[in-house]
Amino acid sequence: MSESIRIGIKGLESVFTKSFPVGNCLLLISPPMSELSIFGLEYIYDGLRRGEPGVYITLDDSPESLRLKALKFGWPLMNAEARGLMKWLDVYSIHANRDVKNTESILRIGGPLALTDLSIAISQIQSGFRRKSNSYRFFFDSLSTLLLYNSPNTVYRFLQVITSKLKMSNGVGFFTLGKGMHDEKINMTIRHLMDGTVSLNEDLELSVISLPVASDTRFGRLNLTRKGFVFS
Amino acid sequence: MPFSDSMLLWASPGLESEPFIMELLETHLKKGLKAVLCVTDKPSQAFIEQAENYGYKLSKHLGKSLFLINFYEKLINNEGLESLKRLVKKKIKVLGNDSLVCFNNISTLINLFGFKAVSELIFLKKFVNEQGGRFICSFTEWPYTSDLLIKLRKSFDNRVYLNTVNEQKYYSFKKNGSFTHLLFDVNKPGGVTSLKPRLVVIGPKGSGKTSFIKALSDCSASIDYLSNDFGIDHAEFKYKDRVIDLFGAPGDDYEPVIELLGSSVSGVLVMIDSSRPETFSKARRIVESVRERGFNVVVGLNRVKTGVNDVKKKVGLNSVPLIVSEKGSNHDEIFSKLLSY
Repeated sequence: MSESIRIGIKGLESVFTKSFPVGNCLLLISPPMSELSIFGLEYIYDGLRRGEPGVYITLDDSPESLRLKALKFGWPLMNAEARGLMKWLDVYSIHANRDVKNTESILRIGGPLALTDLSIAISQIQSGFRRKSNSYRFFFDSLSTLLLYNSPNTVYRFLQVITSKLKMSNGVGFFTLGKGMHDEKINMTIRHLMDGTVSLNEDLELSVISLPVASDTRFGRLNLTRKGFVFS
Repeated sequence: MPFSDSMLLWASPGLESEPFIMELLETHLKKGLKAVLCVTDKPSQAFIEQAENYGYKLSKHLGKSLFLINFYEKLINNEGLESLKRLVKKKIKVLGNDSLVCFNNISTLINLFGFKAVSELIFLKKFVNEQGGRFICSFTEWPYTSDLLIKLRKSFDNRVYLNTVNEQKYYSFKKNGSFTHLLFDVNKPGGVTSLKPRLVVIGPKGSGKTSFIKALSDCSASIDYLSNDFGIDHAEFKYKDRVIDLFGAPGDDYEPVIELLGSSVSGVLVMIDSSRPETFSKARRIVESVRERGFNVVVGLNRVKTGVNDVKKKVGLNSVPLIVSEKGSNHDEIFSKLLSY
């Protein structure tokens, strides 16, 4: 099994290079918009097609509605869920007073204050993935919701532990952070805890702030098509 | 595990401490005693449902002997610690002696209120203890400042630490002045289960593995297959108040046994027959291979006839503990070394 992944979004190879090393946590700063979760779903789905496990950590939407969203783009996730390759960490539904239960592929967390439960669930998923593959993808959406309920220091402490676990277990993926929602000190501290930062604006223009690998392209635009994103 | 006036379950991030709270609650409630549960990081009903998944039937006690304080809702609505204090004090006064007050996770309070939360929890602990009740909290050790951790550590009569070593979960507590470390697992359903340490004895063919195991236990069993040295020896024996599972794996085919037992193995003893230098290089390969998989290894030197140091030099495994195991003696040293990991 290779120690790097392909980012899998058409054209984005020029930014993230053809093979991106595993064990990296990237920050994706973006205005709150629905395209962000589509980006996450495509990133995870691309890995699943290659046999790489993936976990989507959602604080702003239910896995059920994200699953439907993915299906609209032709990304069926249920097969991978049945094979144990795809997991959801749902930090949204219980907090939103929905009457939901855990399933084989969906682990529900009590709410954004339950950081201990979140770290336990991440550890359990990591250990399950280890039996299936050397590396896995993750998408954490979003740190801004975590910051709505927790103090910045609490989130830093959480990230300090979680990013190191993700890196050591060969995870590779994105944490999202709302653009313009937090003060500069928070942005900078979170950037400091990550291996790289990429920024998106409302027109889906992407710019690289820093990356752990050399990149040929530092600016470009994501276009959302019926089959997913294309970067140009 | 100690069940004292006040107890703090101190867990590394990623380890489940809540099932311990559930276990202690259920044990307490089964005695017909009363308890108050403060849930800080999720709706309290979610905690009760989680408990049911682990097999702890807490819901049947609700409103009769188990009383929930849904502090999560209050925290979400920006209520302070004063409100929590008032609620707990009111409830404990009604319940009286022998009641138990549990906090499912005090880290949430510390995250929100810092040092003030620790001070208020200490106040509550004193209050509960003065009323004749017990006070038990679970805590996740996020990277807090050392003064906060020290203050917290000093504030409870007993602390039970939950840690992982090589993917195995341990709970540790002080007993008679020294720490006791016990393996555990958490299952759904099944809850918290104490596990026996599992040690595996391997080594080149004829190095004395089976004799070592048989010398330790009169109820060892060999599952032979095809030839004398192809099978698994198994023995269960008591060592310093602990029951230990011991497995002997075949000399040339130990890998499937190690794979099968996987992360449940606490340590590996590699036996070497010191009178057969021709087996040393093979033994070295076995040690390296097992260490690469992340197992704790101790080498037992069997049948040492010449000087021990001379044998150690010839075996050439400087970074691994080498213990002489002549005629099955020195078991204590071997096990204390393996279990001390």
